[in-house]
Amino acid sequence: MPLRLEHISYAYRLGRGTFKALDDVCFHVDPGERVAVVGPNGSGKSTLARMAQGLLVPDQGLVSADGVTGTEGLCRRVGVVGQDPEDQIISSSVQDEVAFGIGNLGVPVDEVQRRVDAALATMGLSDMRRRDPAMLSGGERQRVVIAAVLAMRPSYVVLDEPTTMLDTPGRREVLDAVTVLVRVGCGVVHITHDLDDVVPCDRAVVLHSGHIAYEGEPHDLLGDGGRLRELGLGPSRLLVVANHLAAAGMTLPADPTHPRVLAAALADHVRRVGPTCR
Amino acid sequence: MSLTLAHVGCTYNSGTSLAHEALIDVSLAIEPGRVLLVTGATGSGKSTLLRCAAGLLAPTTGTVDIEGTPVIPGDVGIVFQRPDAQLFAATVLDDVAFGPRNRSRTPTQAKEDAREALARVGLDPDVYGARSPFALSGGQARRVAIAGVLAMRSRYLLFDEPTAGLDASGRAFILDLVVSLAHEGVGVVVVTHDLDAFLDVFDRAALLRKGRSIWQGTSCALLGDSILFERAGLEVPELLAFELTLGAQPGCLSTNPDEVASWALGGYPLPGPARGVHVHAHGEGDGVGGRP
Amino acid sequence: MMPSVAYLPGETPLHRLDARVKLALLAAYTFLLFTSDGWVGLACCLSLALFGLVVGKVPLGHALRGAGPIALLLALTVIANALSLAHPADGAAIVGSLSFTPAGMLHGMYLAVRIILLIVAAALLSLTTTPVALMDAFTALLRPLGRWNVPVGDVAMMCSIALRFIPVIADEADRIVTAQRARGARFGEGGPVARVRAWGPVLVPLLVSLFHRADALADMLDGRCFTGALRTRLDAPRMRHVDWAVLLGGCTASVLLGIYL
Repeated sequence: MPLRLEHISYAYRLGRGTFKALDDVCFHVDPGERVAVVGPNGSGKSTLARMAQGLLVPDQGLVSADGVTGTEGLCRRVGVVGQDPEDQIISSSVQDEVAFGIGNLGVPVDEVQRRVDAALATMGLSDMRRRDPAMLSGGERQRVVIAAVLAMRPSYVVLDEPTTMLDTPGRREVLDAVTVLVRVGCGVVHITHDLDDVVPCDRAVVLHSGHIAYEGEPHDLLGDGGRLRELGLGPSRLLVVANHLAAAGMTLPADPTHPRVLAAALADHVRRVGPTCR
Repeated sequence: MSLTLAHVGCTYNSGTSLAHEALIDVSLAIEPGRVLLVTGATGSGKSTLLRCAAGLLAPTTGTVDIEGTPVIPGDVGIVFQRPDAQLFAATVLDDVAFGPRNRSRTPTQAKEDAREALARVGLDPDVYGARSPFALSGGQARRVAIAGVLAMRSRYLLFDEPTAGLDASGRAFILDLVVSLAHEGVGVVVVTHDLDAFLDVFDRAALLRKGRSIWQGTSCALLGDSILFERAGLEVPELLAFELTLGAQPGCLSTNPDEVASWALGGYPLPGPARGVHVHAHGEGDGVGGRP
Repeated sequence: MMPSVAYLPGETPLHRLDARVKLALLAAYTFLLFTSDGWVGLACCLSLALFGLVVGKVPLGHALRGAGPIALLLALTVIANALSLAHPADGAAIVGSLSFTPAGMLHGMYLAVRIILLIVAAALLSLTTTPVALMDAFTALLRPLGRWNVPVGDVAMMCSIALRFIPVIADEADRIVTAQRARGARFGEGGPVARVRAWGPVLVPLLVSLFHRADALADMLDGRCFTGALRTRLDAPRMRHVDWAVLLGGCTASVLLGIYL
């Protein structure tokens, strides 16, 4: 049974007026699926994340995970990883942080120890178990958060821009960790505004002004430069090149954001079709 | 009239066991009307460099001055990451006028400077001037904070990771701002690791590694030499990696996706697309080619 | 920026003693201080304090720093006790009915020394125990209160979060000060009114960011299904034989001494 948001509408009340963050949004994720949610700032991505874990009650519509609704049911089934590791870690050791969530589920102490060991091993943090998270790098801290969430055995994990505050090596670490989450069977929602993150996903959803403006194959989304710009998404320079190549009739590789992969595909294309003018 | 850093060294907690040399013997010159890109891996000293250049941090060794006069805080404008974290006043106009007021402008002059700066960042002062800074959206708050720095009309402006966390329109705003400031004669420094965004916006670059400046030169020189990025512990920007993989000769590689796409489809004859030569892009295959 | 009676790292037996035992010993020492009479009792307490300083290898200067802020108060205590409005036999008259009594002064000094010893004992505790260990010890001792519906878990969580966020907030304040200095704000200059006013542009954004953080933390706690129960601690410190021995010995000794002295 999937994580399901059905016909969700939500408006924030601001001073005199209201701001409609989500308007009749239908969204679902299956266990083991990896879905990217992209969109410009203010499109409703964070509201979606908070809705999915039961922190916000929709004005209209229903949120359910594995058929269960309500904040308690959702917090057990939907784990969340946010942007700023500083606001998500409260313990003075890595293993205490990972144990924190499980403890809240009423799991007996020896089972807690087992789950902590397993989560640390899965995230490659076993040799850092006694270290103070405040002394770790941004990427390491986010991995601690992911391990803490993983130890609660959620069916779904929503990551709300988990790499925005990290440098390139940190980003890599976190993206690898997300792959691990999918491998162990979680349904993953990766909210991001970096189009590179869309590539490894099974499905891409684009939010714009509280609506779902596009839902489909990441490959199709990335290949269409015009649509990317319409949706307010900023392709990187390489992706713009890929868009031009696609428009000129080339078949894009599965990962058009990787320079060497794209170059190989282009070389192949030119070999078959010969040089062309645009 | 350049802002000069001469043999600047900066050590935190000097003399204790926690001493950390954040900058070691860095010399730089920031010219008016030019954009200097400063980049390097985390911990390379980029932020410390900015603080020294703005007069906010006294260097342990070396000097920071403008034509011989030492820099004091306020001489050089600096836009920090998450600039909205510094908003405090009751109204947007008051907040933006804070900087000019501190620089001895009269209240009327400060208000005028503030109104101009707000208009510059795309916020109508008549609409936004009287609002509380805390009632704005994230993007608007950020612009108000930037206006607060622009209102001081400094001749030098430093930006610390200005595109971090921004979406496409936010990035475009920053890039336009940097370019227009340079056109007006402001000396601009951008510290960033978002090289893709700034790839065609800078004139000179400085690469930092572990507190030292390991290379300085023109944008052309940087864009043609992938080894430099590796030496600084950075990844080669994707577009450049693409061109190099196809065998473009190291030289001044193009940063224009249109040019690169045309060159690639055209069989990518060596030496590679020349910078500054504009190839007409007519869009989906109408058969009209570009002029080489 | 850390307070002057903060943790001083070390590997002495006092450092390694369980934090709960140290807390209990502090309570026992306080009992002893206030139930023992006369200079003999005080001398006994003084030697115990010195013994603690030696075992913990704590410099006297550090331990006495906590008394700094109240030095004036202590001096006033001595003077107040030394003066008398009656006409005691051993008094030396000063002005009108006000006279100075040596006995009174001695009594005042006795009271002052007692306070100083209490401060030294408390300093011994905070200098040889990490803030986290202290927090855990308090929490452990508060646990029985949970039976009477005291929200022990919530209180413990609040205290430990507050503790963890002290450096985070200090950094944030520093960042805001730097940003405002960059806009030409001046701190530490001008008269008292100007100095206080200079902090407005720092305190307002700091408070706003604190509220944002509080929101984010509340969301995180909800997301990890926090219900207010006490946290399970892995590697929770266990009482060793030494700890039990010191605890029992120390408490017994203080009770006996308190009664007899």
